[in-house]
Amino acid sequence: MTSDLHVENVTKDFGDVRAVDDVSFTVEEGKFLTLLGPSGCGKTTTLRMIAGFETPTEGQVRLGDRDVTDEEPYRRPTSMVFQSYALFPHKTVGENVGFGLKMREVPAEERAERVGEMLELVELPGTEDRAIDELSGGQQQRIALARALITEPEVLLLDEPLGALDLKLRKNMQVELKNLQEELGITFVYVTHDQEEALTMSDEIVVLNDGEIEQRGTPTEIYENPRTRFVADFIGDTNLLDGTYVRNGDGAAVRCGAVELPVSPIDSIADGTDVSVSIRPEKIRIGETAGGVSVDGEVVDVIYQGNIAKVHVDVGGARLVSERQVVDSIDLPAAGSACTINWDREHTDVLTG
Amino acid sequence: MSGEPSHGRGGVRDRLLEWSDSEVFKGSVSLGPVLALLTVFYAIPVALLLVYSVFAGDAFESPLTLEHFARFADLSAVLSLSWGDLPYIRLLARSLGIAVVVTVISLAISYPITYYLGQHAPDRWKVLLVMLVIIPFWTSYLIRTYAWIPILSSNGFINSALGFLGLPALPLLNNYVGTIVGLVYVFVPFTILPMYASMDGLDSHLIEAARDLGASRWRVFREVIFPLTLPGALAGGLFVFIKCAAAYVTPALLGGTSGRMFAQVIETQFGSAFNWNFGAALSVILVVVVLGSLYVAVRLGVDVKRGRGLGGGGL
Repeated sequence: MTSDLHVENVTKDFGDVRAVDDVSFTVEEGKFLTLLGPSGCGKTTTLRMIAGFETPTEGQVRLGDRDVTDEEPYRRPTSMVFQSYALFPHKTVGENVGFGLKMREVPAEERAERVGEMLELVELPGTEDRAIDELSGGQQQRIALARALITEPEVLLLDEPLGALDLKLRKNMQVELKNLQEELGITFVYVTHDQEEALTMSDEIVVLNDGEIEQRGTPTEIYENPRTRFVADFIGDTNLLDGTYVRNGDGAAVRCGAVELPVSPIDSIADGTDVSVSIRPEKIRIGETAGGVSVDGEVVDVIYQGNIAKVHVDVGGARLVSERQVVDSIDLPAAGSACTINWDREHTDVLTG
Repeated sequence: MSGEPSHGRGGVRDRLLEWSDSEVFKGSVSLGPVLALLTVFYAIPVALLLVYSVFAGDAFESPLTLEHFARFADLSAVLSLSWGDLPYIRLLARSLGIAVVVTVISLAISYPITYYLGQHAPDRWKVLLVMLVIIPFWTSYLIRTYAWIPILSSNGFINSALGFLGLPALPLLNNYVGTIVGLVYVFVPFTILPMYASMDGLDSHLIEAARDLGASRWRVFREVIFPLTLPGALAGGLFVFIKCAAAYVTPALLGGTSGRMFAQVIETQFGSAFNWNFGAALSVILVVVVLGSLYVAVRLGVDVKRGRGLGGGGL
């Protein structure tokens, strides 16, 4: 029996405020799905409805064929890892990890054994008798994970679990979490506002904004082909230009002020529609003219950041940023010099939303 | 000639400044008024009680004696366990018993109220709801206690209602029931306020985590809420217990004979019986017993902090 997680047309109102608006998605068993969005976008509320801490105003949550919409949290085969870890401060590490088993009346001996195995899994063996406040943030994070995993959930729900860690530790934990998920083969639903984290770890990303799904897809799809202005802007850096979509013969272009950027024609967009254009900075080349779209401009700023440099180019009043690897800093153009920038047409995303 | 005076005014000034920056000076300036107040209104009276309790008559003029303590706990009666001959011990036991009952009832009432206030009440209502707990203090203790008489008396509000329903009347006034009701009413705010602070500080995610891991509502209370709010409950409970053990006005107004408490006997000795020495001895005994229970409770509280004792609960 598969136990894919289905969230179907779920809506949640808090009084007059609609926190989640008609959200649907499916997570295949054993996949890593991330709910990504800014704070207040409804991602945590969605997660809490999957966990059973909130009941949807409308819609269903199903696990395989089983409707769990109204089931108590502990009757669902889900476990939650909280942003604040929510470790019991008055209990030892062992008591925290073994809590779920104690509530299931597992005998003390077996419990101790499985707690030991779990601590082994999160690489903190032998810490059973330690107090929670003796642990570092990263260690507490692992204990929270062990406590949630010991009840062998089918779906693990994680609410910004790395938010409180420093950058370096966070990067390590991202890789470890991903490895752990692959090793255990259980479904992870992960909530974060950190787009880089989402791109690093996920099999699939659901981008939420204002309680609605903006786009869902693999990290590559989301990054390379954003469908709305919000997604293009929220995920990664991008050049966003507002303009008008114009057809000319077989081709099409977006007119942004004085410049016209040729784009691939899109049938669904009518002539004269207001659109936005997104071009990722690393797609824009400087000083090349072969193939694709070429535009002449003037370098206004060069920002050197060590491994990369950002070159700001003024193109008929619009400013485009080109990002390039720095192999040799002597290669960088000087501010004030004229230049030609160039990119492939398929890297121009025309956004109507 | 020493070098000191040659520093002149500058030297004195420097030393004054240095002294005014010292811990001793800062400590005595900030704690001094409190210490003075407590000395005059607490330490000296208690010392006087101690002095009076060990003299046969006038202090320092009559012989030293332990007869007042012997009168409280007649050794031969204690050894033969003839409680009938130990009226003061029985009265003390009853007072402490009433204090325990009042404390337990106050805590039992406070748990659901503070759980709601701390965990579920909308933020904008919290202040108002806590105000409702405090507002009764704006009325005199005496008036609030008198107000219970028309509620509890044999033809009062409750018994009229019972009669209307065809039920027999209950003796609620002039007995220990009246005392307990009156004391609970007065002291519930003192358990609510510290417990509210504990409940409000309790991370609601801990409760959710416990629920998520399979704890029933009772287990959530036993494993998470109770141990983590125990400091607040101990603080409030201790305060109520101490105040109740020495309650005077409430039992005097509502308690009648069976609700009579220890403080009333002490008052009788100082007042109508005019036996200050015995009254002082009874006061000393009450203070010692209350301090003893304070010590026990604090020890329990310390254990809870270490994650053991009442709140711990092994793996």
